[in-house]
Amino acid sequence: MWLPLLAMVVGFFAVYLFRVHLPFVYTEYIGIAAVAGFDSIVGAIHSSIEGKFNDRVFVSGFFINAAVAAGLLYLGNSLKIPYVAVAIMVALFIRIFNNLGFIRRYVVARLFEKHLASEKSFPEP
Amino acid sequence: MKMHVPLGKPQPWVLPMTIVCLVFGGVIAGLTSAITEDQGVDTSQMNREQLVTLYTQTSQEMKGLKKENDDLRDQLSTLQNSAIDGTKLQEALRRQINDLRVQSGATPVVGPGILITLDDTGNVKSAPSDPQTNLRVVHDSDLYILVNELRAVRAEAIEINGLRVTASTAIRCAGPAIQVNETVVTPPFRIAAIGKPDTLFGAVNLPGGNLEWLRSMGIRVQVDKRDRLLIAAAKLISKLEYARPVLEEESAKAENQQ
Repeated sequence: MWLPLLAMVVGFFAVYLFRVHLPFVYTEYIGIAAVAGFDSIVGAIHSSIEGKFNDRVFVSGFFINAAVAAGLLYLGNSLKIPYVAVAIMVALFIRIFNNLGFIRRYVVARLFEKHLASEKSFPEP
Repeated sequence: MKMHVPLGKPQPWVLPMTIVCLVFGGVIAGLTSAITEDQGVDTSQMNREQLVTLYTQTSQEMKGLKKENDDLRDQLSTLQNSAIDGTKLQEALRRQINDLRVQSGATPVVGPGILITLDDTGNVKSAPSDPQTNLRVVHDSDLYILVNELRAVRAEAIEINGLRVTASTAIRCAGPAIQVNETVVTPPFRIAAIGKPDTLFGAVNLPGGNLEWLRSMGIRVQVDKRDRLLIAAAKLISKLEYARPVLEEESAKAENQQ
């Protein structure tokens, strides 16, 4: 489980040390894409806890969700629709908090109520 | 709930998660660099070498931009020089010179406008000791307030008793008389202004305006719209002694200094 975290740190410093300069105008889009990617990661953890993890669904979801989020934002900005970024963020954050809540309950159950977790009493989200 | 996959054991999600997290970390790094770039370079945390590198980079960039600026300036001046031959530019210059001649008062002008006549009340001369006398004569301030009013509504040429009001005109009080362009003018004052007659007429007759006040003081005021007024050229166009136009190189230098 430490390998992905290590990979994240490696990826961060690889890009950071290469001094990749993204133009500031794209910050909004990259930020939205990053949040969508985070949503995919949290969703993947959720589904792997449930045992429904599918690597293809996950990897495709990560890239396509990020692209679609940025694309929707671009579309909204092009059509001068106000607060598209906020709308996308709200949708993504609802999902993220749902999934995080599930993961949190699972982890809490595993850590502090081991006797309960072992007895198939792990609550449904 | 089918099963609980315990964390910590090798799972099928490790490899794709690793790849995705690599990308995710990269995106985050890109994001931070983009944000810090916008806020300018934070020099407070830099050591000497970094600062030197930054300085050389920036000054090189600046040199490049300066050279580009010079090239563009050269291009501009060559274009301007070559365009002088063009008839289009000649036409534009001719028009500009004409406009400037009208504005500076170098040429007599004709056009529609209004004619204002101000005359002191007849009894002034008979009773010079009357304390009310001061209120019953036209003052220099009345004239320049009027001129100001006319200019504010785009009067294009103004004259007072045949004296053209130009950019260097002074209207002032010289003892008992009023001087315009250092020439004494006496009542009745005849102020001609070329412009849109209705606008000028409305502006000077504004309720509460200076003309209304003069009327209430018993001064004879008459305002007429005219379809055709002739305004003379300024008798003297002042020679410039100190001011001269800024040359192109000088303006560039001044910009650099600022």
